[in-house]
Amino acid sequence: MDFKDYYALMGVDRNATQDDIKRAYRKLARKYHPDVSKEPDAEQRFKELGEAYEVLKDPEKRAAYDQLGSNWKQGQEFRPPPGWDTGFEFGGGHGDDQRFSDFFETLFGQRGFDSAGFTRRHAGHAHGEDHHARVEIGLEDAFNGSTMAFQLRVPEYDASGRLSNRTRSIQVRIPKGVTDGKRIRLAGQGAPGIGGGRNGDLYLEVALRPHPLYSVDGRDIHLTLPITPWEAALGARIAVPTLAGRVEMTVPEGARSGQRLRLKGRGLAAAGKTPGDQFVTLQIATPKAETEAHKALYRQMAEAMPFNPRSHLGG
Amino acid sequence: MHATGTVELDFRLTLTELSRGCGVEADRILLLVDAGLLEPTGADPHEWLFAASDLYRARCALRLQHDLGINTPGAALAVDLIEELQRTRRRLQLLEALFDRNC
Repeated sequence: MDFKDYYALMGVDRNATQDDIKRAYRKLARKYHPDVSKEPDAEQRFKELGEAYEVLKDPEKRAAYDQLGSNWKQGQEFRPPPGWDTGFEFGGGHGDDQRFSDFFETLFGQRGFDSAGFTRRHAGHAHGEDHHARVEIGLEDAFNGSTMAFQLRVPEYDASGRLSNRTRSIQVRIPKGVTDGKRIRLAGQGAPGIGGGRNGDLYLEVALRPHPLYSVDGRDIHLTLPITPWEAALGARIAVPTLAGRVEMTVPEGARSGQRLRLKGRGLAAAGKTPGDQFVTLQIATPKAETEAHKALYRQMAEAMPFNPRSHLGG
Repeated sequence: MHATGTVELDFRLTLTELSRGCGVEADRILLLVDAGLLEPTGADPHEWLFAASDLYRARCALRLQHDLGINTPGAALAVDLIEELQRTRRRLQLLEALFDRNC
């Protein structure tokens, strides 16, 4: 088991006052709160911060923790010395059902499920808990709709009241045309009801995985399509990839780089809703002059086609 | 493996369902409605229906209240700003992706 240096985690001295600790907590909590922070490890940092604050804000726990001495380092292999907690009494509930580290639990015991535990609150007949999860799906699955299997981590109390995560597999029919951030409810797929009570519901938030070709904006799909200078100048019929397969699209004569064309109704289409569109942004790719013949062609163009793309710059 | 459940998109929630989904008593939800964070349709609390997005707004506000010790109007403001920030980040991400692909 690793030692947790709660003072280092909160960035305060060992002789910090309770006010210093509170201020440090508030500041770091704002920085690492998972609803606010973009830091990749925000959730983990916020959990560690909560645990550190749980100990340091409570004079009894802090005194007991301090008794371990100041020679321990964050992450060092730790075993509590025998009788280390003699003379300390730790209060009951810790507030919510968040799970703390093994280090915390070894020192201070499990969190007080009797005061906070939802399973024991309902005697007899009760509605099961609702569960919430975020699931990532591919754009193709969102476009076509599909039945997908997800692994959800479900926190559960065992017979001894210990909280642990159980992995649960569930099959969900992702409706066709679902967009990023869409919420789905699966009635009765949450925690089982107690004493004949109804099961809780499962709420899923759908996130679309980034796609190598397409960008997605609500129901609209964006694709960048490289074309040749002669296709742009003369116009062309080009096969364009869409989520439903390739379709023919007309590039108009005199097309410009950055010009956006619309393939109507080729975006995400949910039942009963106007389908989105696919927008195709043209990008003129210039061929390299790799041989003498290629260079001759460019020189011929330069002579035959007076063209100054910088005329608006006064040059 | 569980059987496929009935999937509801664009669902609406009653006050009881929303309270349960947030793991709080209904009076906490009433405070969020008073703060203007949630805007149910329906004349009185028994008839109220909340949008699916309200479940996420309410859960976010309650987490902020619990974790940061801010009051209800403060949490409501923070949720509005967080949503604005998320919209802006999504927009920026899309524009950056389009920009990168066009270069």
